[in-house]
Amino acid sequence: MLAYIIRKILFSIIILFVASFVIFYLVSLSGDPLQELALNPRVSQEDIERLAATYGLDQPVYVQYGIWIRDILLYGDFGLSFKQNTDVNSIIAARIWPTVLLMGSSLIFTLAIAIPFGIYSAIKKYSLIDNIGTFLSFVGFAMPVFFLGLILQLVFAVYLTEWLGVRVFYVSGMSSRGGGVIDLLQHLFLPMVTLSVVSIATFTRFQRSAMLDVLSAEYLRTARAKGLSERTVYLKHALRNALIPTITLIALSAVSLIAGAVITETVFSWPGLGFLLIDSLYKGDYNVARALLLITAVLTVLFNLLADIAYSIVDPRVSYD
Amino acid sequence: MVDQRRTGAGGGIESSEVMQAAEAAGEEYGKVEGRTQREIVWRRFKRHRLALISAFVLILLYISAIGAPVFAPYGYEEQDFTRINQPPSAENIMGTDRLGRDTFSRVLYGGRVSLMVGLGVGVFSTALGAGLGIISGYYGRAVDVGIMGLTDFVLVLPFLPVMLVLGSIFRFTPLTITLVLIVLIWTQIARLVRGEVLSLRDREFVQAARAIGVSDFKIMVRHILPNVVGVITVQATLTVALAILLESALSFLGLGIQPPTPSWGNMLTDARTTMTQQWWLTIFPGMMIVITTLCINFLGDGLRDALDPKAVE
Amino acid sequence: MALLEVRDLKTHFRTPDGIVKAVDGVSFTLEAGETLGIVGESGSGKSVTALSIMRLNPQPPCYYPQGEILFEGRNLLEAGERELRDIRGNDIAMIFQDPMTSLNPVFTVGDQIMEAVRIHQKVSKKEAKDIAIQALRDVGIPNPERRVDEYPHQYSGGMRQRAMIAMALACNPKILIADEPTTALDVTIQAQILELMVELQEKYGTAIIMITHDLGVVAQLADKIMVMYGGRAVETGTTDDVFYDPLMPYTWSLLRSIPRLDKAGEVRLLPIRGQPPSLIFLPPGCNFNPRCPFAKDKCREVDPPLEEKRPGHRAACILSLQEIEESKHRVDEELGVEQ
Repeated sequence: MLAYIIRKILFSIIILFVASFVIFYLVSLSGDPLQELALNPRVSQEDIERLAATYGLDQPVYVQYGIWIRDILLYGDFGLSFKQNTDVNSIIAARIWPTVLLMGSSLIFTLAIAIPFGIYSAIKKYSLIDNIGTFLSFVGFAMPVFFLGLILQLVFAVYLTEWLGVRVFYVSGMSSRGGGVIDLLQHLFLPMVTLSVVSIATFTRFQRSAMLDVLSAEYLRTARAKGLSERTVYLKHALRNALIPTITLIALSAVSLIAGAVITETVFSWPGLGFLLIDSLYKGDYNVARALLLITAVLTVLFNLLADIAYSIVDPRVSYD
Repeated sequence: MVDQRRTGAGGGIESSEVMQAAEAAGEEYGKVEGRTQREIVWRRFKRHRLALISAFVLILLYISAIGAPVFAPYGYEEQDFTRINQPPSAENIMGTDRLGRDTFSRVLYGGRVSLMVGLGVGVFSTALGAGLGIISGYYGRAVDVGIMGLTDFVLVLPFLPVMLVLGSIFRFTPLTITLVLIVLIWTQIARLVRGEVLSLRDREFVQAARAIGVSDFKIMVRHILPNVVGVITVQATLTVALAILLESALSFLGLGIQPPTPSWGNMLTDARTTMTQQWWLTIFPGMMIVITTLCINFLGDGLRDALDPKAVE
Repeated sequence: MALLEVRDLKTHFRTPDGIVKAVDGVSFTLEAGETLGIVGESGSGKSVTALSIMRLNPQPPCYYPQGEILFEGRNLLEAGERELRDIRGNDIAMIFQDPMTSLNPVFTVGDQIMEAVRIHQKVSKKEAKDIAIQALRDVGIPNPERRVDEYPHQYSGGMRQRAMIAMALACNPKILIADEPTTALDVTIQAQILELMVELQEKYGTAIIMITHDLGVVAQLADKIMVMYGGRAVETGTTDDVFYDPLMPYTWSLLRSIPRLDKAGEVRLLPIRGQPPSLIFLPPGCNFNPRCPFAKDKCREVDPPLEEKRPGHRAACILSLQEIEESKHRVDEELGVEQ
C-alpha cells in the first residue's frame, strides 16, 4: 500500500509541475508587466531594471517560470505584486483566514445536516420526508450558487430587515467596525448557507444511497440475531459501513467547494482568497493570480490524493498490490 | 448518486397487475408477447412522470430559444427610454431594465446562448469522452495508460479557475466557451465508459466477433457501443446541465459571455446592483437557469431508470 | 415442557401484490439437546419460520396473524423488544447461509464475537476477548490469539462460517438455528462444518434447528425432520421414518428426484414437475396437487390436515396409508425401482 501511495504522490507532483507551467504561461499571455511598470510614474527606471533582472522579466517565459517556481520551492516566496507594490505572500496571508472560516463552517454545516438526513431518508425510505428531501435535493443540484446567493440576500438581508426593522444578516463583508463574534456570525451565515446548499444536496443523496446499500446487508441481520438494539445496529454496524464512501466524498467535494467559494465570496464580497482571485484577474495582478491559481491546483490535487488514501484507511478490504 | 426507483404512487401496483395478467396469458397460450427494446424503454420512461414533463418543458425551451427572433416582442438591444425599470406589465411581461430593454426578449435571446452552449458541450464532450473511453478500454495497454493519464491530468485541473484565466485573457464567445468546456468536461464520461468497456472486452460476443475477423473499428461501433449507450445517454444529460451552470457562473463573474450579447448569467451581473429595487431583473433569468437544469436532471433520472438493463420489467 | 414449542404459527407479509402467506400454520416442538431438520425448497417458508422464532422478520411488511412460539413457556410473539433482545444471541443464536456477507467487514472477527458476549454477560473487555479466543479455538481456528484481531476478509470461506459458529456459541445458547449453514461452501468444507456442529452439540448439549434444502445434510445430523411445502409442514417424523418410509408424496418425490449413491445407474430419476406454488394464490385443495404424481380428483377439493399416519409419523395427505403405499409401488414400477 505504501508503494501505491508513493506512486500516486509522484504522479501528482508531475501533474502539478505541468499545471504550474500552464498557469504561469496563460497568465503571462494576458499582459506584459514591463510595459505596465514603464507607465507607472512612481516606479523609476532603475527599479524597473532591477526588477527585470531579478525576475527575468525581459527573458523568455520559461526562464521567468524557472525563477518563479524556484523562489516558491526554495523560499516559499510567490514574488511581488506590481499592482500593489508589495509582496504576494503578505497579500495572500491576510485573506487565508476568511476563506478557511467560510469553507470550514460550510463543510461542518453540510455534514451536520446531510449525514443525519441522508441516514434518516434511507431508514424511512419513500416516506413523505424522504420524498420531499429527494425533490429538494434536485432543486439544490439545479440551483446556481450565485443565483441562490442573490435570492438569499434579497429575502433574508433586504426583505427580512425591512419587515423586522432590525438587521439580522449582512450581505457583504466579514465584520462591522468593532463587531464581535455575534457580528461575525451575522456576516457569515448567508455566505455559509449559499456555499453549502449544493453540497448538502450531494451529500444527502450520497449518504442515503450508501445507507440503503448497507441496510440490506446480511451482517445487519447477524447483528440483530446477537441481540443488539436497533439503535446499535444502525448507529454502529450500519453507519460505519455507510460512512466509508462519504469520507471519500468529503475529500472530493472539497474541490467543488473551492469553485463554489470563489463565486460565493464574490457575491457576498467576502474578503477571502476567491474574491481576491477574481479581483486579481480583473486588475491584471499577475503574480497574485498565479499564486492563487497554483494554490488551487495544489489543493485540488491534494484532495484527490487524500480521497484515495482516506479510502484505503477506513476500508480494511481495500488492498493495493 | 440519485436514487433510481421513483415511480408515481400506485405505479408499482398497476405494473405488477399487468405483469400477472401477462404471465397468466403467457401460461395459458404457452407464449409471452414479445416487446422490442425500444418499447420497453419507452414504457419505463413514461412511468417517470416528472421526467416526461421535464422533457416536454425542455422541448418548449429549445423551441423558444431557436425561435427567439420570432417569439421575442422586442430586440435584445432595443432600448426604450420612455419605459425604464418598469415592473412586469402587460407590455413587458418580465419588466424592463435601466436602459428600457424588455427582459422577456432578453431572456429568450439569453436562452439561445445558454441552451446552445449546454447542448453543444453535451453532445461533443460526450462524443469525445465516449470515443476515447471505448478506445482506451478496448485496446488497453499503452493506449489505455496514455489516454487515462491524460484523463487524470485534465480531471485534477481545477475547473473554474482554469476557465477564469482563459476568460480573463480571451473574450469568450458562445463558440469558444463551448470549445473550452468540451475540452474540460469529457474526462468523467471517458472514465465511466472505459470501465464498462473493460468488462465487455473479454465477453464471448466480442471474442466471437473477433474470431470471425470483424475489424476492431466495427467491433467497437457495432458490438460495444450499443452496450454502453445507456451510461452515455444519462451522462450526456448531466453534462448539459453542468455546462449550462458553468457558462452562467462564468458569465456572472464577468469572464464569460460579454454584453451586449445577453446570457442568463451576465443578465444577473447587470441586475445585481439594483436588485433591491428591480427584483424582476434577477428573478426571471435566474429562474430560467434553475428550471432548465432541474428539467435536465429529472430527464436524466428518468432515462437512467428507463435504460437500466438490470431493472426488471 | 418442551424447550421450544411452535403452535400453529402464521407469518404473513403485506406486499403490493397481496398478502404473502410465507408460513401458514406450522407446529413443532424441540427438546433440549435435540436436532430438528427443516427441509424444503426455496420459498417453502423454512427460513421465514426460523426468522420468526428470532422475531427477525422485518415488521412491517411482516405480521403474525396467529400462533404461538413458546420458548421455555414464554410466548415470543408477545414478547417485547427488550425481552427479545435478551433472548437473541443468549438463549437462541443463529447462523446464516453466506458467511461472506454475514460478518461485518469493518470490524475484526474478535470484536464481533466480543460484542455478542458483552451484551449478554457482565464481563470486562479483557475477559470477553479471552472468551472470544476460546470460542475460536473451540471451532478449530488455528492460532486464535492472532486470528482474533483479523478482519473477516482475511479469513477463508470455511473459516468465516467457523467464526460465525463461534460467535453464535460464545454465549452458550440453548438453541442454535442454522439456516443453510453449508450451502455456500465447498463440498469438503461442508462436511467439516457439519462434523464440527455435531461435535459442539455433544460437548455443550445445544439443541439445533437445521434448515436446509439438502436432504443429505439432515440425514446426517437430525433426530427428527419436518418437511415444508408452500408455507406448511407437510410431513413430520423421525429421520428414519421420513427417509425410509416417506408418506407425503412431496417428500417421496423429493427423495426420488435426487441421485442415490447406493443405487446409482439402476433407477431413473423422477423430476418434480412444475413450480412451487405462489404464496399469494395457493391452488385449491392440497397445495401440492398440481405437481403430485399420486393426485386424485379429491386432492383438488380438500385441503389435507397434518395427521398421524403411523405412530409419531404425520403427513398432510388426503390419501389413506394404503393408497399412498400403492401409488408409491405403481410409480416405482414405472421407474424400474426394485422393491
